[in-house]
Amino acid sequence: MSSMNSLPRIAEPVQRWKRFGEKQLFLPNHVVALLRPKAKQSPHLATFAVPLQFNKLDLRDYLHHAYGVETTAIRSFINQPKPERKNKTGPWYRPRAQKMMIAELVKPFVWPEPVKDEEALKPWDHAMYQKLQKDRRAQEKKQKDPKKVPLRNKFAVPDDVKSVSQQARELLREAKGLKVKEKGLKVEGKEEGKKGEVKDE
Amino acid sequence: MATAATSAVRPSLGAAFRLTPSPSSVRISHQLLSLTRPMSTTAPLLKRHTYPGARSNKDMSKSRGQSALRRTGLRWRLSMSDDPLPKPRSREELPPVEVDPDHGLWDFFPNRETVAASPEDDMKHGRGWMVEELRGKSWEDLHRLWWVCVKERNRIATGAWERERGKMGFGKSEAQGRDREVRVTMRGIKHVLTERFYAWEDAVKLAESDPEVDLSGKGRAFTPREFLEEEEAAEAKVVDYLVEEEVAEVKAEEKAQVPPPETNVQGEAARL
Repeated sequence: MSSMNSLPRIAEPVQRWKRFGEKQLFLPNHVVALLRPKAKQSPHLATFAVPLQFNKLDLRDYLHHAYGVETTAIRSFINQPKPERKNKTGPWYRPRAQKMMIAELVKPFVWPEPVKDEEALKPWDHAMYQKLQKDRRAQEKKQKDPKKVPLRNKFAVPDDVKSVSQQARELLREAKGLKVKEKGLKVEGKEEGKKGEVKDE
Repeated sequence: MATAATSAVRPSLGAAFRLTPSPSSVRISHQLLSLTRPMSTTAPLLKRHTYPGARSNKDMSKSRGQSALRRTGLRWRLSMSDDPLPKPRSREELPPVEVDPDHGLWDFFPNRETVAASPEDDMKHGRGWMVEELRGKSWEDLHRLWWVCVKERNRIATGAWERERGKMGFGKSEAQGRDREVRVTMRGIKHVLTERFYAWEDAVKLAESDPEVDLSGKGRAFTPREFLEEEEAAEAKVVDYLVEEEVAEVKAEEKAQVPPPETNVQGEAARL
């Protein structure tokens, strides 16, 4: 604790806004979401996803009046997504951009730790979600590169198909009077040492 | 300082200074050199000529040679030059940040521990408010309910971002269902307010042709005209009508019950 006390004191941030907006808005219809800050981000910063028509002063007034949160400054930027195609091969279009704002808070705010425990994530059915995501990603990767899609005869043959085809081959050899490999003919109920029987035929 | 001065001078001259301590002895030594050496046509000592109005040759820049990029340091000593520079601390050493339990940003979270609400919790909702239920509410109530809806939508959006960014799992459709019901309520509020606006517009139109209403904004807006007098007159009329009826009834009764009283009258008249 003594080392903590010896730390240099940093001045508490003070709200420096002289006044707030004067236009009264009774029924605002905006959706503002608070986002988890990046690792190592200061607890005095809070990130918001805001509507595109919002400006810094709007967010400042919104937080002040609706949530009682005081800010010292606000930064804003727009995340422009990459152009996409409809249904993979359809026409190109540009998805809607997302405006982000980072507010500097007077009072610090620390988020709770992200939930990583599998037991705690059970209500969201996390295990099944992950499995589906993995399969979907593998499928997408496969479809993206046609060269990597294996030919029909390169697919892995299932075990049951393998054993049936081998049995058929043995039968054919038997019919031709050729020597039969005992290895592949493992029929239930047959005891060992019956090589001779087959040989006799 | 001394080294800086020597390096500012040209190296050949600096070497001369180093050999001989004083400038007066330099002159002497040159004369000696000229005596001992074979004759030369070069001047023994080159002296910079100054002329009136010549530019000062002094270095006017006091901070020459100081560079933050080259880390040269300062040329002058400062009062804090001996103080050690503060060293940055690692995050672990810093005291934990105390978060106010009443911080306004908590209102963005559906759940304080997990941030995102579980699909089960998201499903715990009824239907939105219907227009019929909202019609009886005052503006203050509707306004309050609107803000409850706005904050609930923000909460749902925050939970959705956290669920998707943190790859927590399923729950999108439950959150959307909840959001839909909130929007139903908001739509109902707008519906009721629009209805009230239309009713007000119609009332204004009616008031323009109503002689009892004054829309000029001066004096009383509504003045009932001769309302009480009319009522009295109406009552008087009713009374008259009733009296007339009574009289007619009495007459009819008299006619029916009493036989023609001519004899009696005659008798009375006789008695009188």
